[in-house]
Amino acid sequence: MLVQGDADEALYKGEEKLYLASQWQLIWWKFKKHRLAVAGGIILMFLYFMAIFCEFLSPYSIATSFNGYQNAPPTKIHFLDENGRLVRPFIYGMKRELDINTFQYKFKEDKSQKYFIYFFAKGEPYKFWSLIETDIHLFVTEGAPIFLFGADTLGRDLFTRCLYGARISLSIGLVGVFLSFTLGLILGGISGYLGGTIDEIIQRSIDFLTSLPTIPLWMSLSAALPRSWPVIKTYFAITILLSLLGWCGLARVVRGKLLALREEEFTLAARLAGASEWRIITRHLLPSFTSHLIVSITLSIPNMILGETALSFLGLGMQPPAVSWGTLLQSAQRIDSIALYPWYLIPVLFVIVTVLAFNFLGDGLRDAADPYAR
Amino acid sequence: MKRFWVIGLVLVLVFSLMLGSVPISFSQKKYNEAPILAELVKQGKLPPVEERLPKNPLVVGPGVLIQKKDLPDWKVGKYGGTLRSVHHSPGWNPDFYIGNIEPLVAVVGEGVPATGVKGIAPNIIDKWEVSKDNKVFTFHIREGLKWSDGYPVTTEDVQFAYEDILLNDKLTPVFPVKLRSGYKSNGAPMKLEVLDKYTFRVIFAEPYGGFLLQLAINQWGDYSDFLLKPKHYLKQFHIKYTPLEKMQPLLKEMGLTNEWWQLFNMKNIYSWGRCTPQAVGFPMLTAWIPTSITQSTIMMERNPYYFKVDTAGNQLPYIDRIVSTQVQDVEMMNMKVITGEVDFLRENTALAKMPLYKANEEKGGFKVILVDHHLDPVGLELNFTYKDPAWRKVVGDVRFRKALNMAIDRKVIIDSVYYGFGGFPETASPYNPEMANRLLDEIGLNKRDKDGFRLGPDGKTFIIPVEYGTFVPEFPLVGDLLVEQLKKVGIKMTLKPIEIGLWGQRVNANELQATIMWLRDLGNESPWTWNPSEIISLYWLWYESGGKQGEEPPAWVKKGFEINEKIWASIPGSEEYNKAKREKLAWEKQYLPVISIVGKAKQPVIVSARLGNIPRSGRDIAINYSMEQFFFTR
Amino acid sequence: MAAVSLSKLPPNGSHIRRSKMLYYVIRRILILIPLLLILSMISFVIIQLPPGDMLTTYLNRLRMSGASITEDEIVRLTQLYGLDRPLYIQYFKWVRNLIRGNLGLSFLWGRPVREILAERLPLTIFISILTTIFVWVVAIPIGIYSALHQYSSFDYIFTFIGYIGLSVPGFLLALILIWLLYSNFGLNMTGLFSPEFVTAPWSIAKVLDMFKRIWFPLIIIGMGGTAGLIRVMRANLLDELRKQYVITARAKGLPESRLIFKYPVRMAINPLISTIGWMFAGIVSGESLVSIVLNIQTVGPLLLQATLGQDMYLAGSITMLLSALTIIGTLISDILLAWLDPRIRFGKVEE
Repeated sequence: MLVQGDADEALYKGEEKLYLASQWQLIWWKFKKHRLAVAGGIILMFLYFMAIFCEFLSPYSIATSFNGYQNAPPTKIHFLDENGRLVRPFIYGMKRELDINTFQYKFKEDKSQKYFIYFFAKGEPYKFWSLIETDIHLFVTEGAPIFLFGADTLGRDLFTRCLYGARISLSIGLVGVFLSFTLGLILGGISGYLGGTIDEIIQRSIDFLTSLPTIPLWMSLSAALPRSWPVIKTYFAITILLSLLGWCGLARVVRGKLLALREEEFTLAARLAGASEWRIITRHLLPSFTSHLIVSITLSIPNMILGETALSFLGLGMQPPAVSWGTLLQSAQRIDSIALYPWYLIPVLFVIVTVLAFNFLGDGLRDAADPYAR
Repeated sequence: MKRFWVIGLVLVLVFSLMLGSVPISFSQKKYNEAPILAELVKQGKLPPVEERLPKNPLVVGPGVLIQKKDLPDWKVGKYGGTLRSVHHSPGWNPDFYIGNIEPLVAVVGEGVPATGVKGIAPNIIDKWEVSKDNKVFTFHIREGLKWSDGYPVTTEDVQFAYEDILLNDKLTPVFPVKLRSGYKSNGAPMKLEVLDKYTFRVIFAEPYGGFLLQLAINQWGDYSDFLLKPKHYLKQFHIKYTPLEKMQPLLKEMGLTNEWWQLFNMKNIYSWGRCTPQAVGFPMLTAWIPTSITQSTIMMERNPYYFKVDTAGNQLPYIDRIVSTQVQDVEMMNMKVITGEVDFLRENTALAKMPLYKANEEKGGFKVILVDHHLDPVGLELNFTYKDPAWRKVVGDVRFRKALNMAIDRKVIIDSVYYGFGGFPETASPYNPEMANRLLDEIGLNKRDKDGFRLGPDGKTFIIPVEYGTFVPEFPLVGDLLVEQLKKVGIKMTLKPIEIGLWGQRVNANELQATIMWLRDLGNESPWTWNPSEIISLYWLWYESGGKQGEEPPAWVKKGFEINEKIWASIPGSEEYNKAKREKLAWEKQYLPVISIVGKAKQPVIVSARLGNIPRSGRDIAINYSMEQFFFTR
Repeated sequence: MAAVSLSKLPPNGSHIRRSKMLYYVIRRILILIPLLLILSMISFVIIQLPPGDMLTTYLNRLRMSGASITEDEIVRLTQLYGLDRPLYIQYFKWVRNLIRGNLGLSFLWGRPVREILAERLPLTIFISILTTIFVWVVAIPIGIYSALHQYSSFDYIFTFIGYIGLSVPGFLLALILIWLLYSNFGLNMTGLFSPEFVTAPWSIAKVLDMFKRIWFPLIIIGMGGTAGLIRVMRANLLDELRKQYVITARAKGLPESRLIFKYPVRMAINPLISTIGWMFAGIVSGESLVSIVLNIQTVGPLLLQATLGQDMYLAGSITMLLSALTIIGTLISDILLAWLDPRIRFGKVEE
């Protein structure tokens, strides 16, 4: 390339940058252009942050119930006092009355006393990740409960339960996908690279597993989970269950790609140059479809999350007292919830946003990592 | 002279003939029937209504099926209409099931079933006698009563049921306890004596006055579960009357070879099987008979030979047809209620949906009435005979149970879970956690672990591990609240939901330590308000095996068994019976074998706004029992 | 290996290709039988896995309503369904009956399985095919448009709408919509038929009634599939559009619209056609969870109910049916794919 003047120089520098950039940098630059994907990524980081710090971010624990606040609507937060001046945000207590004609409980604010919201203050004691004992919460009220998302049928704070639920639902996706991915990668890789009888056997097994109708498999395995298992055990069993459905697809893809790439010229070249099998796999073949793998993974996570909600719909899956978005959706799946207590539907929004975010992220990654696009 | 005598004789003869026929024509009441039946009679397809009814039909009027205080404005109804309902499981509509129940005798009391059983009333049996020692029962079937296909009902059907079914090993491998003397599992089986075409006698070896209660209400069953089967229909499937070769084609259809008893049992419909496909064509005595059972609908139409009439002589039921559609999702069942597609629904409604029902009553054309639930919806049961000695020591101490009773804040549970509609059961004590704490300290549970939970006599944290079957959605909610409340008095309780099948297995194997269950199911009018195997399985085993198996119970449990026997020996509603019932209640209050949490719960019942003769209070299930007097006002 | 395959160009393409294909298909069909056998074993085990059996589930269901059946009835049912026999004997009896064409008796319904399936299959297949057509008709044009106008606001909007369908749990959405439609518009969407027709026998009027109401389930069930298909279509088409031949054709002066539709769109749709085989099982089972809520009497909810109730014969028969369809469908898909895409015909690449 001949350099011709300043403009050309800038062009040259830019192109050089492009030319010299590593694969990952290229991907990153391309990714940044896809705005929805970036938005998705940011949202997900925020959600996972909430899940990690749920004990701190929420004012109560999942079992804390307040009598007299059953099915209470979200608490109104006031910023102006009676004189219209800006004060520390506060809430009022709520009184519940049964209207005998409509059989509905009406909640009215009890304006007799203000309860201020304090931030980074002492509240209920808890153990951060069951390790560190502390009692500092992001926001706390004393004297009257604060329900950002309303209360459920036992008077428990839905905001708290949403955040704790995020911990389980979001991680189920990750753990499950990680399992699928590992299984699929190993088996698909072996199958694709080695070929021959091993390939046949693994392929037949995959064929066989994919021909099992997923619904009975899924359901029976879930129904067979002893409900007397502790929450953790059930949780892992469910992730394994969900991942069982996913690994076959991934294995096929890995195998297919490997087979195709095996035939490519650069593999031949590497082999001729004397590279070992291992080196060929890790340094040459893998990176070519890592991007594809990343995309597959990103797009499988939302399926796991939705799978967990489906299990809860059927009454399988996580059981009380464990809280996940699936179990919260179960309470939402009632006409009285939809018609009378719409705040029960807030966990659905969380699910939708999460799934959307993952999908956009995956799309962006795929567009970015696609070596053929410019 | 001679001619005078002849004429006189002839006149006397004629006159006496007339006199003789007068009583007949005076006693020949004028009955009415439904227009569609009248049409069939005109076409010659049905005999006239007088011949279809028994000589002495049951007359339904105010206060007969429902107490006057619950239905003060009873009316003679109009014929016609189709009642629509919904059901969830295939072949099972609990409302139709109860609606069709026709026991041999009926219970009288606070509605049906009754805690204050005041007595027994006639139903299919119109007269009966009990010997003074409560061992011999003489029953008289309504003369002229006919099966739904027109065949007369006689004691031949009773004899068939007894000799050919109950005493046949292949058909009845286990002789049912309800037909054993004294309602004891090792009691001598009943003996049958047929006196004449309509009268038969049941003889027991021990006093069993409660037999009448069994016939009336046991497990919500009826005549088809006790001693009355259509012989003319069933004998074609019985090897004693039909050679095997004749049954071959049917057996082949079922994939069987010579197991005629399987064929028989499939054709022999009990009360719970009336909505299954095999029930179509089976002769019955119920108000409606199944005419079409498909995958999505159950359709039952009026029985032309039904034995009840109203005070104006109209043959019941008023409603021509009852239809139920299958709905796979319980929420959708309620949605159909709201859109007005349901004329009657008692099960599967929910208190929590009351505001929705109320808000849509007008638009949907229905009414929702809140009536008393027939169950005590929830109680805490502790297994006294569980193997762990530390557990036994604590749980066996009545003061522990009294403390638990005081540690439960029932008001919160009623408010949260039962929408405020519930009451304190009779055995409850007021909420008093301080006293509970003191009592628990007194009995030796005063040491605590690092989390603040009390230690048991073995030095380890005392835990109440509740395993509940996922029967009812309210259980986990109550459980959660209980855990929190018991924490306040230092008792650790854990909750595990387990599959229903597994729950049953663990109960039977004495492996269940504690559970949450409904109580006082009056269809199981057992003197225990709960199932003994859930609480005292080894003691119950001892009792049932006559001391050979199980474990000998302590004195207070034995006392319970004694009271048990007294209740079943006496006639329901008699002085003896009432006295025994009072003793039972006192025993329950004193010993607290179970901790009943909520009583006097309410159940919403959905009724079409066009239906008449609907009670406004009383027991929910009583409304089902009176379905034959429902009618559409427009 | 690599060197060999690179130079492997059949001298006489069609002969070898065809016989290879035949050999391949025959091999797959032969494997079918042992595969089905193993599948039957696994289906049996899976359905029996949860504790208890169909009798205990039935008993408990009765118990929940306060009723119960007599001990002798329990014994009789146990004998009728062979529940007292050891599991492997139950299994053998079942398989033997299956081979004879006797699908067994459904415990829950009290009727032969064959009857139940015969009633449900037509409606299921009908709705599934309708849904598939709906999804394709909606998704493919949107996918094409999205690909052609990548990163435009329409692209974003359509993608967004499509993704909503993917991310909302259908069963919840169904309930919410049913409620909203009734409380705001008085529309009663509680089933596939209007209340008058539910219990009526099939007639022209009933069919017409169904057509009037079927749009609602179609949309809800189809929503999830639409999104996925849009994305796949878009991605495929984008891939194709970047290929050399497109640039060549453009350079050669082919008008844009003709250009797009003559090759790239067809190539993009190819993989979709090959997925038809995989859809067989799906068409027969139909959508399950949403159908439960919408009260559509298809095979999916039947299977769910049967599995939960451990109704061995019903669940087992449907499972075997679906498995067989999946295997056959996969085979057909593979054949279609190989037939449509010459690149895959050689070597062992069987994707």
